[in-house]
Amino acid sequence: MRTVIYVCALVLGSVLMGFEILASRYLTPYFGSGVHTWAALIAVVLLAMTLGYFIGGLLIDRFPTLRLAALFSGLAGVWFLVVPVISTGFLEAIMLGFEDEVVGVLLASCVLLLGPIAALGTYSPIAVRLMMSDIARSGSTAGTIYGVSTFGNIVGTLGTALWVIPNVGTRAATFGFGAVALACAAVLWLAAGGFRPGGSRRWAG
Amino acid sequence: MQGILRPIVALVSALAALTSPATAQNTRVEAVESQYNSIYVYQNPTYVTMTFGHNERLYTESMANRFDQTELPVTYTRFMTLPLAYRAETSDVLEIGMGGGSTIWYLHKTFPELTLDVVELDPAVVELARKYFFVKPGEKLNIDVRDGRIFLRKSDKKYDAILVDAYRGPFVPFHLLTREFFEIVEDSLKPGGVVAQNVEPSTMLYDAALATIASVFDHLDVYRASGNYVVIAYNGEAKSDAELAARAAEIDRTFSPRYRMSEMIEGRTVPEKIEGDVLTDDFAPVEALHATERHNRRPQD
Repeated sequence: MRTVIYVCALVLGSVLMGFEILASRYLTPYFGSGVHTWAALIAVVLLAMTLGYFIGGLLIDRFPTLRLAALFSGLAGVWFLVVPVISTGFLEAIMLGFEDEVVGVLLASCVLLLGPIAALGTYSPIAVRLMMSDIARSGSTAGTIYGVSTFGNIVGTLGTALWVIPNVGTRAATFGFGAVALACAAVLWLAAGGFRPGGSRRWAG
Repeated sequence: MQGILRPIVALVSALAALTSPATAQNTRVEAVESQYNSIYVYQNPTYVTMTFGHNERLYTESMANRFDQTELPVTYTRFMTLPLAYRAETSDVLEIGMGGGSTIWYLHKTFPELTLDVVELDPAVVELARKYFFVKPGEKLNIDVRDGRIFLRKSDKKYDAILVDAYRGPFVPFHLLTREFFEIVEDSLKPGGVVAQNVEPSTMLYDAALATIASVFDHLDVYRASGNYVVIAYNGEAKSDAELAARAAEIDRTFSPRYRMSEMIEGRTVPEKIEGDVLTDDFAPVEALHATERHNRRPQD
């Protein structure tokens, strides 16, 4: 079970950053490739992760089940399947509707990224809570989850920039991320059935 | 032996300076880190040069003769004026990517009745051009600072000719190279309007660029200037050599441009076979293509 959680941390971490890199290919034709596009992209991803951390943390304490992670991963996956179909529409509408390009790209980034990145961002606090066995090990529990997930970020960033974008179309890559996120959701849902939070040692209180 | 070497070296340097006047005795007069580029401006006794990127003169972009407003020292820019020979009449021209503004200023001085719009992404480039080059906005010359593609999408104006010269140094903005971009260009042209694009011929990006332009426009001509090629594309009936020559000669007679259209039009080539991937917003691996040299070069290339 621990393996499932760590592997999904890695995989979902890759998908998160992978989609951020891919987002630049969505935004550039409508908002240019200048620093304001990148700043908007990064800012919105960080905002989404902020939301994901808070929401994920709140909900997992309420509902301590791996099914929550499966749900969020599934939501992200569904968004990735939908985005390639509707993106041209809303990106163009925003580009034409706003004279100020900075406002436009911020709004477009929010529409494109806020949902899926927040959903993926819930994973780490969920995983930490479910892996938490006792306070003596709480630091390393948290550190390991975040470490593995951040390593996934690296894989996603470099892999997408250096291999996916030069070899695979943006749409196809997005569908790919969707498939991966949905696969993780399925695995997490099934693993939730036989998983007890905290493993064999329960933390009193 | 030493005594002979010194004057020989001096002689060779002097000869080198004579053959490449733009690089002789260059002093850097300004270096600017803008939001988009590292820009360096060099001056020598005759020429001012604006270059981009870390490798400085490897990416010479814009050059002007400090004492001669209509000289176009960079050869391909002369060919960028050829779209006029493809139109019975030209009144509105757009240039995407201004650099030092040499091309657009030449057009303004040579054909004063033209209404010229220039779009440049980098405000630092516009500022440096104002400071060191001749280009100046006026009644017939309008300078906009924004992304060229966004400019086209937001503007309703239709042009006789659109000149695309937007690459800076090693960086190729992919969204100005895709089929969707050229469709947007096509939409902004008057019926029978012409697009001219400079392309660097040494990498696989050249093949992709041609294929992409050809996927949107009916006809495509290539002019080989030294270093860069100029692609001119248009819709409608194919123009014969005779038709272009006649129009070129007429322009030469009426306006006496410094760079004769009749001479340049003779360099017209029509590519027999266009290979290469069409680039789209969805899939445009420009960095990979740009880094790969063309292997299928024929002898005349």
